[in-house]
Amino acid sequence: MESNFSSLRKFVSPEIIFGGGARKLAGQYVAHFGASKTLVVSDPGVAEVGWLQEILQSLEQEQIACAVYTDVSPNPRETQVMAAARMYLDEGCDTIVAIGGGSAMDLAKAAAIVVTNGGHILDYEGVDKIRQAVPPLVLIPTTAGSSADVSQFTIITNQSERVKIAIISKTIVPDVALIDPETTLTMSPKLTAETGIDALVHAIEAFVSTAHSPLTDIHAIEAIKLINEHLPSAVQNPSDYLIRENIMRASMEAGLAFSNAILGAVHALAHSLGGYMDLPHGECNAILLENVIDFNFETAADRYKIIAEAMKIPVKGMTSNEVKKAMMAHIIELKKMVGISHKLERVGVTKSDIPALAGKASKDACLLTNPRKADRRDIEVLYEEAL
Amino acid sequence: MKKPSDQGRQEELFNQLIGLGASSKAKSHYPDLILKLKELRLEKEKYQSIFVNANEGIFRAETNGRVIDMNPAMLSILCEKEAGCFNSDFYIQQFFLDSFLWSRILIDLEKHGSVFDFETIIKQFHGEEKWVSVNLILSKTSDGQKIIEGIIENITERKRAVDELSRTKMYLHSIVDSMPSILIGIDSSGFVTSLNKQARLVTGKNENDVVGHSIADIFSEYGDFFNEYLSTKSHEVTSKKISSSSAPYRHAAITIYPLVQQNSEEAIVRIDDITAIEEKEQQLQRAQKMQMTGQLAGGIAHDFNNYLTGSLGAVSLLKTFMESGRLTDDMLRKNLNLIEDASKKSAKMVRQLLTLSRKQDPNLSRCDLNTLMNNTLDLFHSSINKNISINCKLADQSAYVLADSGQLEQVLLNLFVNANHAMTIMRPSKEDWGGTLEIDIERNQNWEGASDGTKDFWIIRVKDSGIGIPKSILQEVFNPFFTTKAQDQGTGLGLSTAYTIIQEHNGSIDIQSVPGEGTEVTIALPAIDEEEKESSITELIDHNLQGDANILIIDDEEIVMETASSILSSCGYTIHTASRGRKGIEIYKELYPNIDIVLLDMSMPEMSGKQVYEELIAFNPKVKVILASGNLNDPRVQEVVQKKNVTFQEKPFNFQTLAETVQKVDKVR
Repeated sequence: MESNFSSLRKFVSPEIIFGGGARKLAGQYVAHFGASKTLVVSDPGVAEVGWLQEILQSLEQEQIACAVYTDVSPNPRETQVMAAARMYLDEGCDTIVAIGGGSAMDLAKAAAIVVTNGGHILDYEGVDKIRQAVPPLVLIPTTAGSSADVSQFTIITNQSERVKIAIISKTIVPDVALIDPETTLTMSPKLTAETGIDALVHAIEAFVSTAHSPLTDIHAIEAIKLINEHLPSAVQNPSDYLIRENIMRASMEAGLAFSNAILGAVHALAHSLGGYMDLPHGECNAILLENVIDFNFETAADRYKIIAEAMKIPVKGMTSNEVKKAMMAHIIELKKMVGISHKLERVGVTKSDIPALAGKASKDACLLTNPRKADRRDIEVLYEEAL
Repeated sequence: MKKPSDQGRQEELFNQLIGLGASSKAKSHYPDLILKLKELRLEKEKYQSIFVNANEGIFRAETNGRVIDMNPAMLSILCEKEAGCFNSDFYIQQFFLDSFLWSRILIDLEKHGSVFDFETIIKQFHGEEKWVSVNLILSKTSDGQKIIEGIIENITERKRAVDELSRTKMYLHSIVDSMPSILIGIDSSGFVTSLNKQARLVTGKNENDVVGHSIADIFSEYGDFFNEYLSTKSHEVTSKKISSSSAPYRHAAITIYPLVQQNSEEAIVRIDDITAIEEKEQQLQRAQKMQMTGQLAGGIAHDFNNYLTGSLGAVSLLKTFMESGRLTDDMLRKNLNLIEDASKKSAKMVRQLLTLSRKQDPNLSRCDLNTLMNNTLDLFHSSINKNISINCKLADQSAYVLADSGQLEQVLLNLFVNANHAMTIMRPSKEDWGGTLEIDIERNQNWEGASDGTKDFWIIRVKDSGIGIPKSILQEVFNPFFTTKAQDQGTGLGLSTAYTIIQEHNGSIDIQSVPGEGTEVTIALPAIDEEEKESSITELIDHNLQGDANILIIDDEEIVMETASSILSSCGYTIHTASRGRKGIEIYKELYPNIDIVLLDMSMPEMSGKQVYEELIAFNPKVKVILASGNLNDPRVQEVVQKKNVTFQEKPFNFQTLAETVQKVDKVR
């Protein structure tokens, strides 16, 4: 390992209710906070399949009034954050509930920052910039992967600058996560695949992170095992609840791991890419994964070997390089099995885009916990390899 | 500041990312909560302190009146004696004495949302009654419940004070109203602010009619006086006797008392009816004068007797000589002169006596003090003790003052009588009677005694060498009825009257005395300028006293008629006579228009000169009348003399005076 600043570790997690039907507790948990009116953030897709209506009913049962905000795009924008915050204040809300994918949940978390801290959401870019505690947040994920429901992150797109900004603070770890695998039954195979690989990336990066700890390792390894074993069948059998449950748990455990151990170069590069091209986060991560492992492997070979074992790769007797090769092949094979085999070129990235992408990625905080130090040139090479 | 190293910055960021930065913490509302709780506590303390310590009772009640919260002051208003009165629910309306009040209040509350300054009586828990002022607001709790918030103030003491105040005010009011004086409040501009009952009675107007109007308008008869006060704003109390025929009182004393309080320029005007007092005073003066006249009578009678003796002696002598045919022209002239002289002196004396008995109102006219002094001394001369020598030093020039000559004579006579007594009858029995009376009149143009700043005065000094006055009683000599003389020798009014008269003349009188040496009285009177003498009429008179007019003489006194006829015939006039008024009128009408002048006596039996005049003027408005009388000051005479075409002829008259008067009247034909 190249850096080891502190030997102290902290672990922050929401109050988690996991299991089928957990979403139905929304009203009860919001009521626990003594709420009288809550802002419900969701997206049109979730509203369409009926999850939103269920939540509103649950709140109504507890006689909690609602203001509903659903204008959420796949990468939530700062203007949407401000609009939601305005609605919260105008309607006199006192709590926030979000049901949806990473976008809806990130938007809810960002809006929560603005309603108690004031100002503009872009003012809070960076780490530990939030002074006032945000309103009670109850998050209900409907995808297995983003883990915004358990993490200290929210990622917002600054549209005018075409960049994603990260706001990182333990104070935006949600109060309650109602993690209900049933909600993921409606996910499309493509979304299942992308978010599943995203969760895998979360787990791998957290495990090899310079900030990892035994507390996070258990969750990371467990997540890797579950995804490795169940993701292909989840894509093939979308309505198999038990498989969905395993993937959902994997996503949650990956989230707990990376929220506390932070990430690495895959995310640094993916953030830059996603902001630049307005691409789904999971897809970016998936494309870049094996190239970053290639780059990092030697620096954290022991950690990667444990990951390989968790993926049931027969590492016994293999040299480090053999393990690396086997692992990269395994991951490419896994991605192929779930339908992700394309490279960056396919999503429209050209060589001329690389200097700009690398410039932004080299400033990403996630590089700090990457096991191998990567300079700008290293990053350019990584993008080139992924073309 | 040293820029942190790259390594340092990275370490900081790393720690922040894993949640170990300096300000990194999991979400907690607790710090905020503590802050808010502290604010709330401070706020609560603030309001609680007001609530607990307020003097007013503060409470909250449900709309049915059930009290749900109240402060200690409220408790003591409802329940003064015992703290633990309320163990169960109670309703605010159970304390109202008027049982229908609460429903009325509720109606008002529903209608207006509030009820303010509602005063009523409550019956306390232990039955005692208190006046309270109630303020209520219909409010809502945050959960939408209607609630009544109220403030109740115990105003029993205030009510009592207000009652007391109004009682005191009524009391003072009735004192002011009971006053027999007119009392009127005026502001700095002389506008009426209030008036008492007497003022309302006298003016016949009530408060609304006069408040805000000028006092000078309301009592226009005294307008000058008020205007003078308002222009000078004298801070002294001012007082004046004012008489006016149209005024509410014939004699009034008006006093203006500036109010000393509050730096205001307000004042109280007091008007008193002093008619009775004035009349008493006049009666006193008259009485004093009568007494004085009585004292003088002895001497005067003596003189009169002497004159009569002279006249009668001369007449009898003439008769005797005439009968015996021995009457020479020389003897005739000598005796006639003697008779004329005696008669003139008698006439003068009578005139002076008449002056003394004249009516009382000061009749101010230009008087020469020298003449006045001479006249008075003439009058007094016969009454004075022969052992007293009079040393009189008059002024070098005419000493003019504006005065009532009769009143001034009265004053001087008083002083002379006192001086006479002091040098004679009041002397101890062993001492010889007699002394010197020194009199002088001189001008002082720097006299300091006047309050209004005038300095030009005539000073009269009357000094005797009598027994003097002890210092102990010197201050009292001007008091009415103060006398040291025996009962039949004085009323004690002399100096008091003198004082009043001199005051009325805007003068001053002062007395200095050394017991055993004598007394000096100083009188100061404002000097007036000399004016040219009236001479226009005298110039009209032709020194040749002849005339040819027809004259009707109406007089019941045969002697007077004969004398007048002789005098006027000798001047060439044609004379008709009548001894009674009725007869005179008949003659006038018969001969009309051939009578040019009627010489008419005032005092006649059956028909007075006044009545005759009235008939004549009715018959011929252009009739010319000469009214003859011995007393110009007789009101009837005055009344007629003021009429058109009437000329006064003083009695007794002689050739010269009568002829002149007739000629003067005839000339204005």
